[in-house]
Amino acid sequence: MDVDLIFKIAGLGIIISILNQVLVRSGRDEQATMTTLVGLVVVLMLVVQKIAELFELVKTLFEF
Amino acid sequence: MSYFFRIAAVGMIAAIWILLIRKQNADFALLLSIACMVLVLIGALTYLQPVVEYIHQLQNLCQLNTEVLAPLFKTIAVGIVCQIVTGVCADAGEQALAKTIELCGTIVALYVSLPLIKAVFSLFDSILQGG
Repeated sequence: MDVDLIFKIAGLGIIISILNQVLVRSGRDEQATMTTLVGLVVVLMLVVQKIAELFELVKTLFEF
Repeated sequence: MSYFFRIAAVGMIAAIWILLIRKQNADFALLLSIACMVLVLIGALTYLQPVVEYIHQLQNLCQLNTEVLAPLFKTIAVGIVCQIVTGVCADAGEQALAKTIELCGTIVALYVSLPLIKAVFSLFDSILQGG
């Protein structure tokens, strides 16, 4: 089981929330929003690959 | 069997991470829970592979037609996917979407099992016509 993915996503979430706080405090709200958005897209790419893998597995296993 | 204990540990750790992250940004928490769910399921489904192979062996032993078991497997697949997606939608707070996908899964399961129902009724018909 690929447990690294969970830690990767959790770490990215914490780093991005810290970056967000720092950027908001220094008055760069737009950059903070963009950072959150980019982080979300990166994590989404990771998760979508795994979801595709799961669905493929279900399809091959049950001969769909 | 040790896989199950690993799953339990990973589930607890992921729950703690999700609690930690949810305060800052809830979307990451949702993605993390989806990732954990998918990882656990991928592992569990690989363990289901021998069971499916054994069912195929039994099928060959009974010389059962492939068309009889195919709707069963397809319905299981639809059920699993439907359950996962409904859970994710409910977690994201989209109850209406979850209910719609559940309904959609039911309809698809019915559609998938249609050939089996047809076969049963044609069997009844042949028995009644013969009698």
